[in-house]
Amino acid sequence: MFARLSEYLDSELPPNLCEELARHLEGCMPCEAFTRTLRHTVDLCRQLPPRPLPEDFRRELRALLACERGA
Amino acid sequence: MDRASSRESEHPAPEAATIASRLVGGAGEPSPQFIDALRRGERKALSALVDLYGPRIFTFAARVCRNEEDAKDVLQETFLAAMRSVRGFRGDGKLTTWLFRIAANACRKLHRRGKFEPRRHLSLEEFIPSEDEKALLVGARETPEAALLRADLRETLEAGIVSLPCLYRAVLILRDLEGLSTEETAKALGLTTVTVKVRLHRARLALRRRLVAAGRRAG
Repeated sequence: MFARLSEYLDSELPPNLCEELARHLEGCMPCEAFTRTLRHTVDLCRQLPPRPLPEDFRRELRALLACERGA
Repeated sequence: MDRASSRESEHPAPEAATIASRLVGGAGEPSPQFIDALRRGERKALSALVDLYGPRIFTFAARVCRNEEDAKDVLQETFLAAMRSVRGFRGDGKLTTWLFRIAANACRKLHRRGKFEPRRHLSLEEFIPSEDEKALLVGARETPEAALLRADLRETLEAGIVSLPCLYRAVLILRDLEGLSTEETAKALGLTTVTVKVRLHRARLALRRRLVAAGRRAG
C-alpha cells in the first residue's frame, strides 16, 4: 500500500484498492499524516512557477527560427 | 553549440502574444490552424511558439540539466528540431508532449556529452517511516503541513528537485510541475506508464522527506 500512495493521490488506483486504502487512512493517524504531507509536497510542486526566459535570448531565438525558416 | 546571431534586423513581434492567445484551444493546446501555420513556417507562428512554450521548455531543461546555459542550448535545439520536423507531427498526441519529448532527448544528448552523473536508484524501503518518524508525525505540536507552510520552502523545493537522481528528476518535473498525465509523461520520456508511476512516487517521497526535515529545522 505504501508503494501505491501516489497512485491514490492521483486517483489512479482501482476502486477496490482505493477504498481499502481510504479505510486504512481513516483509522491510522501516522499513515494519514504521512499521506497529507505527501499530498502537500505535490501541491507545492504544482505551485512552482516557470523560470522566465531571458528577453535577449527570446529575441535571439525568434531570429534564429526566422533565419532557419528562410534557409 | 553556438547560438546563432541574427542575420536580419530585429522586428518586434507585439502581435505574437495576441496570436498565441488566439491559437491556443480550450484545453491550452494549440488549434489545428496554429499547427498548419507552423508547418508553413509562418513567422508569427514561430514567434508564438517561442512565447507559448519557451519558458516551460527552458524551465524543464534548466531543472533536468541543472544549468541555465545548457537549458538555452536545449531550448534552441528543441525549437529547431520541432521546426524541421513539424510536418511529421500527426496531431495524434499533444504538441506539448511532442515538444517535451524532443527536449528530453536533447537533455539526454547533453548529459552523455557532459560531466558524468552517476545513475543512482531510490529504493522504496528507504522512505518507509520508522516508528520514531511515525511518532513525530502524530506527536508534533503543529501539523506537518503547518510546518511546511511556515518555512519558506521554495528554495528547498528547487534544490530538492535538482538534487533528485536523473532517473527520477524528469519524471517528477513533467508530472507534477508541468502537469502532463502519466501517459503523456511516458510518451515524452520513452518509458512505460508503470515505470513513470514508480519513479514519480519515489521522487515525491524523496522531496517530501527533504521538505519535512527543512520544516522541522525552521521550527
